Amino acid sequence: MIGLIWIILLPMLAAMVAPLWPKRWRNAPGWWATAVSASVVALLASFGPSIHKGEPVRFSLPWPAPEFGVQLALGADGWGWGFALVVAGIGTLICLYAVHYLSDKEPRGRFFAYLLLFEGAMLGVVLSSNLLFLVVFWELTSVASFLLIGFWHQQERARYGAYKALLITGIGGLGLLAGVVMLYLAMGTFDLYELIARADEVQAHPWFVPILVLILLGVFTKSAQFPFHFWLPDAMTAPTPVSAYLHSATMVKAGVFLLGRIHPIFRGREEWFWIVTTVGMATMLLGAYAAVRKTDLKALLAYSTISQLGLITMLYGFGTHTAALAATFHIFNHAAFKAGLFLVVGIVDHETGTRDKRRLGGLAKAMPITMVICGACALASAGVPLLNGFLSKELFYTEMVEVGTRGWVWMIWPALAIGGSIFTFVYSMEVFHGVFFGQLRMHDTHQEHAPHKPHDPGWGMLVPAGLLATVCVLVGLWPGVLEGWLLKPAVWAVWQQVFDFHVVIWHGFTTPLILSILTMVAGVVLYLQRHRLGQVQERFAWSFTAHTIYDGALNGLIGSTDWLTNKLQNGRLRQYLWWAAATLVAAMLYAAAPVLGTILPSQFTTISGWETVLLLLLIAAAVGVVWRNGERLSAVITVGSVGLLISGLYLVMSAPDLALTQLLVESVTIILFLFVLWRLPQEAPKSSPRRHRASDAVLSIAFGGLICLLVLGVSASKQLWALPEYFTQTSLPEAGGRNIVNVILVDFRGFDTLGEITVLGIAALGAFALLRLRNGKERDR
Amino acid sequence: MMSLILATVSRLLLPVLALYSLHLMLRGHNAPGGGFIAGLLTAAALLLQYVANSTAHVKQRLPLNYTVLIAVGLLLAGGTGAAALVYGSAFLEHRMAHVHLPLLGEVELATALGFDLGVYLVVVGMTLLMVSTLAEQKKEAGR
Repeated sequence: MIGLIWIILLPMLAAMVAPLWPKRWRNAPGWWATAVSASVVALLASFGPSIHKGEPVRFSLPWPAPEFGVQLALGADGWGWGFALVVAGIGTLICLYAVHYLSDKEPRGRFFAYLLLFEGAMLGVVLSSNLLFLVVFWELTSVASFLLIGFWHQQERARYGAYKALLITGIGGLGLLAGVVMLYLAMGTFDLYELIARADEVQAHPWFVPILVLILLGVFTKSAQFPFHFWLPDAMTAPTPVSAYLHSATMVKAGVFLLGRIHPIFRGREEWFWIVTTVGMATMLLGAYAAVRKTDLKALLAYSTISQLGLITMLYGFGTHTAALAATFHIFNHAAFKAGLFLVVGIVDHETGTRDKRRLGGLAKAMPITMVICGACALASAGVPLLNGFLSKELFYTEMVEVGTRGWVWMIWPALAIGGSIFTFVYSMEVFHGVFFGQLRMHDTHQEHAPHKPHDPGWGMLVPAGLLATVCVLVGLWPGVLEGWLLKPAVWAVWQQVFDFHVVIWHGFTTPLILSILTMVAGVVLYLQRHRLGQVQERFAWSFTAHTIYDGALNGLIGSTDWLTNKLQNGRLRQYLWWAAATLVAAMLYAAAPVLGTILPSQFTTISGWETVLLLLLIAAAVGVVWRNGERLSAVITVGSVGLLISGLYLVMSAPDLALTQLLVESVTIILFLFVLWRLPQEAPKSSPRRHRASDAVLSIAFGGLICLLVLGVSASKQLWALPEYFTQTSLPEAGGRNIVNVILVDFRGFDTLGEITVLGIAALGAFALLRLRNGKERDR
Repeated sequence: MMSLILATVSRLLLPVLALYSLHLMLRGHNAPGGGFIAGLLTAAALLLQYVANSTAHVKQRLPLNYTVLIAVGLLLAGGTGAAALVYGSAFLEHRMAHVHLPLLGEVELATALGFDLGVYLVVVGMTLLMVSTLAEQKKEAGR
């Protein structure tokens, strides 16, 4: 259906318009973006009934290269459609929030243009069913993320964070591209649904493991999985609406989204299980542990996002019904409560001027509505009953318990899961209880935009956060409402098979419920003892982190390229010439090696009297050039005389065109030389040291010898004589010219000439620019 | 260090050389000559002016932007090639026609001449751009 393509095109086209609104209408770009996102939601909703019936909406266009399997193919199945709804829905809320969040001085047009660009790209990721298009949109989201993290580009940290995010996700994106291309080479298609249908063939293919590893590289970098998690905290330098939207709700979910997409192709294999689950588990534990340590609330939320993404990744690794359901459900739930939390932190930051948890406390009285919103989102994140987070956490525990029953070694999974969840509970409490309850603490701020007495913000910031909190509560209370329209189609699309399930709040007094209660009790205890916990964490803090490795690797890379550049581009002309000539010799040798043996003296043509005289003179002049290394001027003139002799040789060999050209080139070159010599000192140049002269001599002899052999080889070749014959015969009838040389130049080999004069022009411009630049520098000095 | 004799002779030579280069240019298709050679000859004739007179002398009398000359030459050469596409021929495929011009009689005109003219302009522009930049360089440094 054609409407699908508009879902992607609409935000992208709107992004181009966003910066064009007149400066006077400050809020116009923001409202424009909100309206566009809302219409995308409406457009998506119109596909709802068909998705509900289990009929995916497809659209494909045989463009740009269907013969290579590269064509625009979009498909909205339950999973893509559901995720697109999250992207557009949260996008609408974020745009509304950002209208009120950004100060008047910010370049709003640019901000909303980036945001819409991202929205379009992200919708492209979730709706593409051609994997190559998916990769293109995937990279576009990285670019948009780079632009948005670096939005406050005046700040050094913003630039650092933007680069880091782009480098890490970019490297992963290359891995993904390689994996997808290998998949194409192995299977002959980029089409996702065809690959799913032929999953057995993929799994049996000898390239299975490399394909898997490369695709997972893309997934893990994008979704900030250990050991690539470290870019996400630095991405928090972006404005808070961006963090809420890209770096918690949608973009970082692209990785786990793709896991859900390719899940039916790869699941069931040992490699898939072990890599995905262990990486996910490690990330979940590391993120939750680190989140508790952070004092900046946004950094805390960043690590918590890493942790939750780890949880989702791990669940997809298990490859069971329950795990796929839990993961898919949790993606939706997490998008709601984490985006809500980010918006709340943005509000708190806006009102008090700080995000440091040590400086905040007891704000409940001043900001009651914000407190309620935060409560719903934070408790959902902690996994408290009657909220959406509880439901997916219960499913998670159900899966863990099932894994635990496989044998006593497998008990490690539920044990670690509970450990991670306890920390999750603690950091969620820090955001909610720590900020809004207890003694009133508020950083005395000097920032101009923060009022002296914090209060609830205007509706524009409260409504988006409030709506997200409402979703958390509604889903938590009546899970069935969402289930039929969103969750079931999504889970079935992920699993690629219909299976029956019901998400309910009360299962009876089961093991997962006991584990949930255990988690909450332990969480409360640990939260109350958080100061002691902090001390323990401080004692075991390690200074060697992934950041250290990244910075070290980057500095090392820059350092080594500097070193290499200095080595190669050292400014010594002699060395440049030497290497250029040596490379040529090597290349010629490689090309000529097979024919060198075929040159026989019997094939050479004889030379006449005049030619002999000229050649002897030529040899004498050439020797003279080498011999007389005294003054520059005389050297130049001797070189010129060599050229003149060559043109004489051309004349004798009846090539008047070449003779004329050579003669003119020699004259012009000598004048050019003179202009250069004018600048050089009068005295004779110093001779090079002996070892240089030796290597120069070897190279010169090799060069000259090879050229000589090549010419001999060419003139000995019989086929070559067919060419003059051909040109003599066809020149007049086909090109209307009697001068073969000129006809070859302008007609037969006209394309070559066009290339040559282009090179000439570029060379002249290069020389011009270099000399002018030099002049400019001298003037500056 | 200007030589009066060289300066005078070079000025007298310029029109002769220019005419000769035009001759070379036009006859290129059938006899020794062509855009490349004619371009070099024109450039050499103007270089002589640079050497025998002065940079300022040439600049004053020849207000040409050599960079633009290169660009025009490239466009002309590429353009005549692309023009062939309009008539359904391949890129750079040339055509010719015999036209009767007053005074000159039967003359053969080929699109190849346009291409050759492009080559001519690029060669002139390139040579003079390099030399004039070098010449100005000398002046700057000598200050």
